[in-house]
Amino acid sequence: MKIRNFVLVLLIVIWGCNEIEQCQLEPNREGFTLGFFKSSDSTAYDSTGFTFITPGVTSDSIQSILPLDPLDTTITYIFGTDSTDYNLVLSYDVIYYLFSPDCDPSIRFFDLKVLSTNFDSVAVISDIVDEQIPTNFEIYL
Amino acid sequence: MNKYLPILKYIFSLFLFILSIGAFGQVESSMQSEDSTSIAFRVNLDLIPLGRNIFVPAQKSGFEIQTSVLFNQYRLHFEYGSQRTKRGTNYDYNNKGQYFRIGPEINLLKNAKDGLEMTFGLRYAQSTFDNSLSYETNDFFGSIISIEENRQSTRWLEITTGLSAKIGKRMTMGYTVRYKIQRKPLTSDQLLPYDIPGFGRRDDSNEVGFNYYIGWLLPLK
Repeated sequence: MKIRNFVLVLLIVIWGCNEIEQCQLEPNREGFTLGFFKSSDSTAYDSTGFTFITPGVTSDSIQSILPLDPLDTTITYIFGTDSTDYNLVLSYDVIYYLFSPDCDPSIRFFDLKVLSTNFDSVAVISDIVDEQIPTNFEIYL
Repeated sequence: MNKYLPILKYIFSLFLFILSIGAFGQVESSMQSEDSTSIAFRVNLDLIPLGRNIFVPAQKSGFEIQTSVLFNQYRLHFEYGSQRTKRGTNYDYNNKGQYFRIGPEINLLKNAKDGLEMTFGLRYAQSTFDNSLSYETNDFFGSIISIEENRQSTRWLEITTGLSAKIGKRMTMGYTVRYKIQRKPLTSDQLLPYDIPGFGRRDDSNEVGFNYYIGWLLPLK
């Protein structure tokens, strides 16, 4: 009886020490987010007709998360409309780390800055790319 | 030299503190006998890293040597170790570095039979290490990442306690439990380390360590 209790306690201790790593808990993500607004009254701008271009990549619609290149520290996005092409040049810093050995390595993008743009104005809401932050930039046009 | 001055002051203060603790325990024994001062030198070899070298050499390898000068029940410890850690299946993370610890210790069982010792001590520790990471991202760009960051360094303090016993005329065996605290936060330009040799994981500010060692005693006086 005593040995059985001892083994039971030992198993509980071993199980209790076993860390449960959930890679989904990692808060960083691979790109930034933005929202479009009308300069005149700050209401949401319909961006369904936009396309975007980054070096080597073209998309017919704006994705919810716009990717950042982990091997670079600047990126240029071109947003195309029927009438005008807008550009947004960003700089950022990158750091790599292991959230858990069981997960793929993580990349943290931070210190996002607007280097140049021809939008009417761009407001930086947050310079950190993180799951908890819904919008990094608000773009007015 | 100036940057080490606060550390040396700290170690000296700790040593005085340990001496003062020992003084309370010595009142009775010093009345019983006028012991002559004994001085000895001891070398301990940590068996846990040696076990890793044998059983999991691909994941973690290294060694740790502990040396101490014994003045009656007081000791001054210097410990040095080297550690190499490799992680990852879909990626390749390597961490390797060296660490040292220095600090005073007291044997609380001075008059125990059979060379039994129960120790309490404090340490200042410092680690210097290199990191590298290589993998292919599965993101939008599918980049092949290969980065390394060398000569990262951090320091921390330890509170130690342990038990040891003689297993031969001049051989001892025992263990030390370490509570590692007050680690200096790490900064990085590119790659944050996952492991810190001699400490543990970077994302833990406090860690508990364990050494199981075999030691050789060399009496000097």
